[in-house]
Amino acid sequence: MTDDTIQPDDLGDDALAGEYALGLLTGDAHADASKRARTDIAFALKVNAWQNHFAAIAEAVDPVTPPRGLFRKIRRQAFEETLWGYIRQIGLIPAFVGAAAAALILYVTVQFDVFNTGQEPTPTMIAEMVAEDDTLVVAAAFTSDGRLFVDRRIGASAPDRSLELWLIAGDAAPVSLGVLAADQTLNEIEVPAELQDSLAGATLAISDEPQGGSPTGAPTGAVLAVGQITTL
Amino acid sequence: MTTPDDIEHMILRVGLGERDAFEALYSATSAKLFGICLRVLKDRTTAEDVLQDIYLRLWRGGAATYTAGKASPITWLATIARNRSIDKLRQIRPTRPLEDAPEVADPALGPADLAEAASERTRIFACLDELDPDKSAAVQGAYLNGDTYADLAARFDVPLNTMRTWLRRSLMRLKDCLSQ
Repeated sequence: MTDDTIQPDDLGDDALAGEYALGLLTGDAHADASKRARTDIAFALKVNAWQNHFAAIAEAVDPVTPPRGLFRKIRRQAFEETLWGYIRQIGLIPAFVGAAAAALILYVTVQFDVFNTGQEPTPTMIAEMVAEDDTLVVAAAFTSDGRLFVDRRIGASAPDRSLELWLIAGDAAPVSLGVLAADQTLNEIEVPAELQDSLAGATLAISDEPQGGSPTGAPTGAVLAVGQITTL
Repeated sequence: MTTPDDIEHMILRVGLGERDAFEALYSATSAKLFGICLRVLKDRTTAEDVLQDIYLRLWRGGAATYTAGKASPITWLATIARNRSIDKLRQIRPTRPLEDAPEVADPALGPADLAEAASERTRIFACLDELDPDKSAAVQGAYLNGDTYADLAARFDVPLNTMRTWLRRSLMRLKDCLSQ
């Protein structure tokens, strides 16, 4: 227990937990109980027990069907924010197994179009980065709202190393777009506004770098996979 | 018929970001939750806003906080609907003290199958019936209308501390009855 001013009092605590679960308390009494519900497990369990008992009162309320259009609204808002959801779902569909990343990206695009309601960001540019020996395959999709989704489909960084993504536009030096997460295959990367215009036709590359990325700001390790950005 | 197990599966799949499950969960539970929001808020537009907020929160990671096999998934959802509605009620009633309704923590009752959940439901009502009608009404009113001690003291025209002593005793009687 973190608060010395509260005396252990099981009986009083039960009533207090009930008062808190009902929302009867105001001011300091509420603030104190709220703090305990977050920090004192025994008290939190009492609050839970009350909440579960009282939930029966809510469960006894007659159901009312919400208006027809509401779910459409909810769905649009929910799915709009989660391009993640698309990519995650698409990643689970074993279509085009064995095909090149291009086919996978094309498939992603088709899916985007299927779900597109006009409000959701759509991919405008895509790229595939494939290692010569196919041990690393990374797909990328830029969306109309300036985000970059990168999906590491095959392969991973070496132990204690990181994969870093680079943008190579024209003759300019490679610019780091960030390090790919080691613990997940999907990455959402924000492309700085000043780079957005140089994306079309540019090249994306992935290099092997010390953990956390290149210490110099330029690629230091081997370039593992390269791919050109294609405008859709 | 949709069973609590079905609902539980839907919640777990929504936690993984599965769209089909989100739609199925909405179909199976939205009328129940909308009824609760409407009962607390007594205004359709506001209740729709809260319902929308509840499902968006579930989709955005809320569903992933559900722990399978602890409390009934309906109990979990009903508590969320009630608490979110009370939050909203206090936001839009500025004359009342602005307090957050208790956050839903991890429900900690034992595994609840349908029969158990049903007996749980009847038990709280049986125990409420053992209280004075005034006190039973005060408890249910606090739960569904968001009445605080200040509101209840004003309604029953007694000092706040008297009200509190009154209800604390009632809660202890409830607790005794529920643990029998």
